[in-house]
Order: sequence, then C-alpha cells, then structure tokens
Amino acid sequence: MKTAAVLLLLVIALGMLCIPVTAQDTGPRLVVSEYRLDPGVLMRDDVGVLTVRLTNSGSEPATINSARLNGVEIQVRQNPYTDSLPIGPGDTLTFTYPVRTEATDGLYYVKFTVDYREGGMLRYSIPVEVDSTPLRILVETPDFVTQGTKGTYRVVVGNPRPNDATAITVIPEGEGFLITPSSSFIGTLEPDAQSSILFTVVPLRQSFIRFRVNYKNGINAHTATVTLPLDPSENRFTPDLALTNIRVTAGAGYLRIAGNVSNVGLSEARAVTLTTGGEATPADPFRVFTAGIIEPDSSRQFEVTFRAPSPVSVVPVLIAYKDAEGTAYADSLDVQFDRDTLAQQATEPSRFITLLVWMLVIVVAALIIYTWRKG
Amino acid sequence: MATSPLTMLVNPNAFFGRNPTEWEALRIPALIMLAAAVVAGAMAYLTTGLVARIMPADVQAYQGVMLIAGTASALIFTFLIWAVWAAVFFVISLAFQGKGSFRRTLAVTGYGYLPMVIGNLLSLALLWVALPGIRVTPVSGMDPGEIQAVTTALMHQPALLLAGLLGIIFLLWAANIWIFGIRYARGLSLRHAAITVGIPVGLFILMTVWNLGVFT
Repeated sequence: MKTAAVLLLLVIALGMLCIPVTAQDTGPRLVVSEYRLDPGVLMRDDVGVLTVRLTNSGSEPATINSARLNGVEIQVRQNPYTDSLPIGPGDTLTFTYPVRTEATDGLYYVKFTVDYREGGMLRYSIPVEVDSTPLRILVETPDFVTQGTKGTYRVVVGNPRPNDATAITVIPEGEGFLITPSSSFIGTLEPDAQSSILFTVVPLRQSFIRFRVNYKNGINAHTATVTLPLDPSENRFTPDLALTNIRVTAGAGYLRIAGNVSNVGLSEARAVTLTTGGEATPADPFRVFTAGIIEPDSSRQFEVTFRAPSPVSVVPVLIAYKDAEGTAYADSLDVQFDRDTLAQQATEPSRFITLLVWMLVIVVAALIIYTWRKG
Repeated sequence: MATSPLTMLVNPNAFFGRNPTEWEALRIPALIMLAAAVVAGAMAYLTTGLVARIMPADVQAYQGVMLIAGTASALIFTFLIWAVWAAVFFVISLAFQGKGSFRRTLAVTGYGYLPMVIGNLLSLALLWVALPGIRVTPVSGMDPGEIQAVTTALMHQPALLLAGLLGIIFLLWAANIWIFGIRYARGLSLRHAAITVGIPVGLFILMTVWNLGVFT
C-alpha cells in the first residue's frame, strides 16, 4: 500500500512536469509562443535582435508588470519592458531585445522572465548559437603567370556558416597589375552554398594581389581576405625591338634619323611605328614612320624626320608596337648628334651639284678652246 | 645667225668680226646689264639677309633697311662696274695703240656680261636653296674684329664658296668674249687683246679667290 502511494505521487509529479509552462491552471495562462533571433547565428562581437512573442492562452486577462531578458555570455543591451502591460485572453504581445556577444563559439542561453500581477512568474530559456566561422575564399590561379599577359583568376566564395551571408562583394586589391572587373557583387549565399567570380589579371611586376570579400551577418559587416603572391615570369615570347645602325643626317630644313629596327624578341611585333619625342618636333616627310609587322630575327630600315631648337643635341626615338594579343609596348632610344657637323652638312652641296660645277668648267673650257681655234 | 647674242657666246670672233655698226649699239648690252643688275640685286638680297642674321639683336631691327640698301647697291654697282671694266679695257688697250670709240668698248663689255648673267642665275638658285639651312650665331656686340671673324666663317660656308667658284667660271667665259670683242672694238691683235683683258680679269680672279679665303 505504501509502495502504491509513492508510485502515485511520482506519477502525479511527472504529470505536473509535462504540463506546458503556465502561470497557473486557472485564470490567465501565459506561454512563449515564438522566439526568433536575427541573425540566426551570431558571430563574435555581433549585434542581434531577439524577438519573443508571449501569448495568453488562458480564459482570463492578465497584467504584466515586467518582461525581462537576461544572459551571461549573451549580453542584453536594453530591457525596455518595465511598465504594466495588459494582455487579454488569446492575445499575443511581442518583445524585442538587442543582444550582443563576445563569447567564443558555442550554444548559450538567455532567460526570458515575465512577472505578472495575477501572482505568477514565467521563466523561459532561449538558446543562442555563436559561430564565428567566416566565409571561405578559394582562388584558382592560371597555370602560367606571365608579365604583361592576361591571366584568369577564379575566386570561389563558400559559406560554411549555419546561416545566410548577405551583401557579399569581392574586391581585388594591390598594385603592379591590371585587373578587370574592379569588383564583383555576389549577393546572398545560403549555408553550404558557393559562388565563383572570374577576374582577368595582367601582371606588370612582382607584387601581391589580395581578394577582399565583404559580407554581412544580419546588420554586422565582416570581411574575409586572401592574399596571393604575384610573381610573374618574364614573358619570353614577347616582341622586343632594337635600333641599330643609327645615322643622323641633315636635310633641307629638317634633320633625319635613319637606321634599322630589328625584332630581337621571340614573337612578331605588329603595328610598329617610330617617331621622335622630347624637344624635337616631328617634321615631314617622315613625322611618323610606319614599319608594320616585323617578324622575329628580322629587321627593317626606317627614317624619321624632325626639327629641333638649336641647343638640343639629343633626341629620343619613340618606338610603339603591339604583340599578337594586342598588348601595347613602348620603348625609346636617345640619339645624340653634333649640330655643327649637321649644319655643315645641310649647307654642303650635294654630289650632283659638285658634278654640275665640274661639267660647267669643262663646257666653258671647251667653249674657250673652240672659239680660239675658230679665231 | 652671226647676229644672235647666242652666237656671241660660242663664237665671239664671228659675232664681233662683222661690221661694228651691227653690234656697237648699246641697246642690247644695256638690256644684258639690266638683267645682270636684277640677278645681282636678288643675290645681294639673300646674302644681306644672311649677314643681318649675324648682327646683334638691336641691329637686326634694321634688317629691312639693310636689305633695301644691299639690293639697291647691287643694282647700281652693276652698271657702275660695267663702265669701270670698259674703262680699264680702254685704258690698257691704249698701250697697244688701240683705236675705236669708248662706246664700242662699252658695248663689248656689256655683251660679255651675258655668261655672267647665266652664272649668277645658277648661283642665285644655289643660295636660295642653301642659305635658309645655314646656322649662324649672332655676334654679341659691334666689335669689328668679331664681326670680321664671323663673316669670314660665313664666307667659308660650302654654298657660298661654290657660288664664288661659279662666278669665276663664268667670268672666264666672259673674259673670252671680251678678248674677241676688244680685239675688234679697239683694232688690236688677238695677243694684245688677250693681255688687255687678261690683266684686269686675272687680278680680279686673284682678289676673289683671296676674299673667298681659299688661301687662309
């Protein structure tokens, strides 16, 4: 009999534990009908908004004295609900609390406590998950990174977090290269989803390239970066032009630089043009000399004509050309000359004139001899 | 055929050997001298422009005046020198008992200028092409020594030397015409006529060569 009484008490006690959280059996019955944390999972130092919905499922109205949220690892930044609030039977009240955490990854609880006038107290524990795992960035690089040559970099952004990451942008940073596009927008990534972006990079010199991924967890901005060394090998298959056999001569009212332009590179040079720069003013007939295509190991004669003020004795010859991919190259070579010698040349009679003079001498001599024989 | 001045260029003996009344008129010689004066004026215009460029900046302001003066001088001096050459030939030929009027000597001298007109036209073309390319450095002041040095350097320019050489060649041609002309104008032997013309022309050529700086 005694044993049966103990078992009965236990059954009753267990039965009481299974009853939903209520203020009391009769009168008002307050229950937490819903709660939501935004963002669903906090990262360290994040601010979130916890929304709790309280429903009176009883038959009597109740008056709430206060509704508080408390936590240890999760700090509640404001508890604004300290005034009396009536809640009728079947009604629902919504309470929002800003929360923040500095905790390490884990599952923590905040306690929602409602004190109401009808003599009851509601306590309800709400779980809050903290996970500071950032977005993952994977960069697929081209097989060969060559100076001055385009290469495609594939940036893959993955979301290993248990909740959505929003407003995701990828921004390349660094110097010593040209890159397109300058940034790219991904938007929202669901958990375990990924997205990839292609960037075209032309390395100009040895440097670093950093891909910065900006994203948001709720209202909190976060950044993930990955930095890669940019160590381009010298492009061994570019055209390379050299000027040889340079001669500077004087023409009628202009100076002329002539010589050979040779392709000492391993690929053809296209759209090769030469002109003078610096203080020289290009002049007709060859303001710009167009050499066209020059195959590797071949050369072409060129000449450029220009005028230059008296003190100038050095003039740069500017060479512009492109490779097969259309990448533009520019080079220059300073050409030095002696203006006095050139001035002398400019006024020096040509061989034709000298020959003409000698012919005149012969003609006049012949005339004189002829007239004397006649006389 | 023998009356053509062109015949005179290649066969002066036949041209002047005719009756003197056929060539002693001064109309054609005067026209030849006018042509010579115009060409000389043009050459003077070019060379004065070059000389003006070596002058100091304040003097260069009067470049226009210098050009007009240089051109006008050349025009006037051409006619003056015509008379001087004729006078010299006339006077030297007196030593060989030369007869004939000064008018005839003047006519012969004028005809003889025709080769020099051709020569000066060639020189003019040469200077026209070459002078703009000559680089000159203006003198710093009016120091006569400095101006002389720069002018001498200028005269050594190949184009100017060549123009001088052309002048000598065509002067020799002219001298050849003068010899035959003087022979008939003054009634001299060919030898005496050659001496009459050769002495002043030779001296003139020596002076020209000296001025060109060939001996310096």
